[in-house]
Amino acid sequence: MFPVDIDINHVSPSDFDEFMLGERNRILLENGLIEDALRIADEAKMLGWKVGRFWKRGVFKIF
Amino acid sequence: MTQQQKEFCKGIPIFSILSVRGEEVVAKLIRFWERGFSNHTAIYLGRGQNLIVEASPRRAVNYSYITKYLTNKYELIVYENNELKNSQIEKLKDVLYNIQAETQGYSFLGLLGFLLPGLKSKTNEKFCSETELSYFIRH
Repeated sequence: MFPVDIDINHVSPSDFDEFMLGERNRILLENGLIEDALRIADEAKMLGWKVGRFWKRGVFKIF
Repeated sequence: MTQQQKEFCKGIPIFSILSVRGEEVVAKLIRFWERGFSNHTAIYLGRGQNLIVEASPRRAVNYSYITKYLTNKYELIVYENNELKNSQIEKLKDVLYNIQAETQGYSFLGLLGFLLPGLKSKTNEKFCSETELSYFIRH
């Protein structure tokens, strides 16, 4: 599960992997709403999409 | 644009994916239902004015500015891709143009599909993440 209360000083790109490939896409798949969601998320990662920066209410981190 | 916003936007690659977490009631409801971090997505275009493309209930798929999410009310993850070649960027410009041109409205029906499986968007309507999925599929 994605950590909701993120410490901006200690967040790393790997913290976002679960969001990218996790619960949201699983639900979409189970509901049959967007059948290709998980495959697309996997492909996006393979195609080079990475967490580059993160903004949290005025404070930000660039990886 | 504040200095803080300028620093944040400096160097964001074109066609990055923005994942937005807001504090509005509807935003919280969407996150509760989807059990996800964000409730909205958009595509970054940049072009000196920090343009984004997004689907919204008021304006279907249209242009806006990233700065509206760079405030104390939002959290934002930027998924970047520094490996896109110029030929891919040109293709993506066409893809986005076509998505925007053929989308005539916001897909409330598609959103209801999260609650009632079986309901699907009309072909000329999209909700926010559906816009990004179209972009990936055609990419």
